Amino acid sequence: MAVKVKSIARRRAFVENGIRYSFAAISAFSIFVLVLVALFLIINALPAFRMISPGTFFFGTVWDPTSPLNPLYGIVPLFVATLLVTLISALIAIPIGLGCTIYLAELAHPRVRAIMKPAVEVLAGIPSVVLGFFALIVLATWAQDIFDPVNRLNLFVGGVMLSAMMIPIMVSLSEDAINSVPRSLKEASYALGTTRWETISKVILPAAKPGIVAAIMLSIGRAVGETMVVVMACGNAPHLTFNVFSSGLTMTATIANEMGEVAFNSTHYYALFAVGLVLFILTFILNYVADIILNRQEERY
Amino acid sequence: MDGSISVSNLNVWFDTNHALKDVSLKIGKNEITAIIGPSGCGKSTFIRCLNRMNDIIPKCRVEGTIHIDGEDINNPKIDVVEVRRRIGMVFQKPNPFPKSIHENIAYAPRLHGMVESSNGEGSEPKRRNYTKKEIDDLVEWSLKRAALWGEVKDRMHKSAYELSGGQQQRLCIARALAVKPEIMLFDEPCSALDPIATAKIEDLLVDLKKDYTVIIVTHNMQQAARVADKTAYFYLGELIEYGDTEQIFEKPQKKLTEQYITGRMG
Ligand SMILES: Nc1ncnc2c1ncn2[C@@H]1O[C@H](COP(=O)(O)OP(=O)(O)OP(=O)(O)O)[C@@H](O)[C@H]1O
Ligand SMILES: [Mg+2]
Repeated sequence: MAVKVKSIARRRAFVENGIRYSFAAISAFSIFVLVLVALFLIINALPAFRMISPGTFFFGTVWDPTSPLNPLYGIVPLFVATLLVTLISALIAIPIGLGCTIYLAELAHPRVRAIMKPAVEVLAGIPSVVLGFFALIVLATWAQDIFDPVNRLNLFVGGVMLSAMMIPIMVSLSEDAINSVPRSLKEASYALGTTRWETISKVILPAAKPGIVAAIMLSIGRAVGETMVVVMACGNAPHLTFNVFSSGLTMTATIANEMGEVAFNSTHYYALFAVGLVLFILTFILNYVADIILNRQEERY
Repeated sequence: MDGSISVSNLNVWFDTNHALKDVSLKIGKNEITAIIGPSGCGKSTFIRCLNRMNDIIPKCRVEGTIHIDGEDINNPKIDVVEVRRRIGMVFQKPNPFPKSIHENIAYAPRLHGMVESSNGEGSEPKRRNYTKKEIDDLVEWSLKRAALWGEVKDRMHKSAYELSGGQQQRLCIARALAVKPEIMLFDEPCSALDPIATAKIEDLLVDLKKDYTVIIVTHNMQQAARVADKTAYFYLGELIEYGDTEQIFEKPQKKLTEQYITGRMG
């Protein structure tokens, strides 16, 4: 009997350790890939700073790498374009996404929700090249008629199209946050004779706030890193502009456009890696902050 | 405005599950009524009908009439929010908001405003905003009424989650009292509490009886015997027997009631 119990215990320990180690291996592998990508970026970006001074790279306002006489590698115009596109898409996607979430999670009739939720998820699955194509052909034409922009393809068109990519992410992540608010809290509030809107705004949203903020950060991270839509919709003129209706070149679009034609090991080549590194750090920070905020929510209950 | 309840032919379905079957009973004002019965017999469903909390559950259907102070609260024209203000509810598990102790109590009154005058039957009472002093007084009054003031008066702005389970439950009682209801519903308020906290809440129930009509769901026979004036025994969604607590416990009329009380079932 005692022998048998021991052998069962040993076998169970073996199985459990096996499970634990395989999960550890999987997560170690994903960290390994992350480190590998970071190293690859850093190693390829560092030579850039030997050829271009960090001052001109980070503060230079002209990006003109192909000039035969005086090539310039200033990241500022690219950074500003990324910022403007992200800002426009966030300004559109956050209120719409939030409204959509509240409607789906708390107000919609179950039958409406059963149709709308999958629809939103399908929207998340549309390939970005399709959205980019739509922006290029349809959205740009509408924007041209309404706003009379400086260029037909511009940062505004890209930002609007990007918001269509952000909204589904916003909605599905922040709906999770709202659904994880315990039902007992909602019932407590309703039982005190508060209206639906009072309960949503004073109990449900505050309790779900960390998750919602994290959803916003993650979808902004998505906008910063998105490439295809901006390449196709923003016009890709590498000048420094604060006018959202003129065309612009984002960091991602720069890499996508120029990497194919650049000479291997040239200054331009390394400069593109430096842009990639900046992008990597930027999205890493956004995701990391979102993660911290999310974890804080889990501790609270 | 006295808090009498009269239920007739109440039926509740969850989808196809007939959870309450033709329940009729009258509950007098300033009485404590205990609802007893085995798990799943519809006790919670019954008291949730009284403040229309079942409205929140999508597949729930309620039929029958419930008159509170002579007014049918199932009438579609009635303002549900107003009904819930007149009927406080305390849940099985303490469910304070993730806010400070003070905010937990001030939350609902601040939204509702202070009743300035009630213009007679039917019409909505006139309300105005509370002043800060009035809110503080109300919070203090509610906490004293719930026998919690002494334990928390020095940490009003600390999180309600720092309180013990029994303290949280009394906070939830104070929170319900702050809305100034006429009727208080308790759904197994002591199920998560130790005997000392339970005794405190029982004392509180008896004290509340002076001003409120009290209905308490409980699995604890001794508790029902100790505090309740009337007892209702539910079984499989039906009201089997309802009467004076003493009579129910000592001379039950129905075989099912006797079996349950003597512990031969459920
Ligand atoms: N939200 C709900 N959705 C579907 N069915 C429900 C729901 N709430 C209760 N029911 C059903 O209604 C019946 C009565 O449940 P109820 O919660 O009223 O029982 P109870 O007497 O309070 O039991 P307990 O003592 O375990 O709390 C059960 O059959 C239960 O499955
Ligand atoms: Mg129950």
